[in-house]
Amino acid sequence: MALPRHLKNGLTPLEIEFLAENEMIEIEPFIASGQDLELLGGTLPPLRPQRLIKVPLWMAISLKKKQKCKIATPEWMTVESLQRSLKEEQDQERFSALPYHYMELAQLLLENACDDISSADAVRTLLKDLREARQSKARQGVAALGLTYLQMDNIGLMEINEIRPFFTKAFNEIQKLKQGSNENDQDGIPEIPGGFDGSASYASSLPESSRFNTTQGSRNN
Amino acid sequence: MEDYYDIDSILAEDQNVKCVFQRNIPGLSWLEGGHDDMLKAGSRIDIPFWMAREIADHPEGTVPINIETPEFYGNKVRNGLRAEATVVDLPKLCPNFFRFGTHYLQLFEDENLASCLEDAFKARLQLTMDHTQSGGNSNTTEYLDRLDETERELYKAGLESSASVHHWNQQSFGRIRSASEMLLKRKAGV
Repeated sequence: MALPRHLKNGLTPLEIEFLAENEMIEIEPFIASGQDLELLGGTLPPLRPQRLIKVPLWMAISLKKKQKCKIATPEWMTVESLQRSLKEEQDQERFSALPYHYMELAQLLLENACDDISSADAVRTLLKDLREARQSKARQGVAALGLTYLQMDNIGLMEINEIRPFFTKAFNEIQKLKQGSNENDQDGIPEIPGGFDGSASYASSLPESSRFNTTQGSRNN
Repeated sequence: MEDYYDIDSILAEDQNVKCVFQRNIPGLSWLEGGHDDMLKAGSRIDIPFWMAREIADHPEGTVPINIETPEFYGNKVRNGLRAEATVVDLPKLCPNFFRFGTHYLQLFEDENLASCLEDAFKARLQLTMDHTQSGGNSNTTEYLDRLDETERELYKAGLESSASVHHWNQQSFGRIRSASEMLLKRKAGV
């Protein structure tokens, strides 16, 4: 398909953000809706003031913008929890367990509901540290790029999308280099002794002019 | 395996290789710039790889020419790549170093070269990725000059994706803003 290159590589950050907006999050509404909320993805119970309820993030943000709810900080996004994750990230070789959409969720919440998050600045710094630690891990993955696959558990969608174009291309190139060395055994290409040393000869019963013309012809086709 | 219309692949095949002809071949002396009809056995000339391959890939499996190992796959370069792959200046040797390598290895069985190329590619890959994430600092240009075409493509792809995430992080991505002209007008009180 004729797509511009930045679209061909996968999803754009904004598309990923859009996907993340479907995640459920807890809010404390200030209003009563009176009736069930019928959404495409399912029906939600009615909103009641002071009663915690799980709604999609897009709805939470929309209500928040109208000052009609308070968003509860998700468990993993508190300072203590992030500090724990960061420590885990630095001590262990694998990625620490964060939500699949952690970057997008954090970004959207910090942008729209900064006042509902306790010590938002500390959270922001911790998230940045986390991201850097995880980035350097993804970088180590390059060294492990092998013949078949690369396993990265717990990596977020945004992170995987960031390294995808680079990794897939690199992987293809490595495959090609490997294929080149194995192809002689499987393919129809006649086996030619390395370097053509001496053994190459021109044993043939055909007159040489006609023989050469056939190869020339095939190139011109 | 390879896309027939892949332009990079076609360009890579255009690399000249030194060939020694084993037989007199009529009608090919123009390759050497001569005016006789016959290309003499033992002539050593540069011809593009695609042509050398077609001549070598003979229907009966007999080979009228000897393709010499190109200098840039010689022992000197191999040792250099093994010692420190990231400092070898590839475009100077051959602009399509790795891509041509895949073509070359399809014709020749050379385990040593194959493993050497693969290891070198992997070793350089890591540094290339580091540079994509530093977002085009001034000290990258020197490194970029040493990348071959394949690696340059990789670098571009990596840079684009990390830049787009960076933009998104800075919240300057896809948000609707008033045009700068409007802001100027507003300031001027029009």
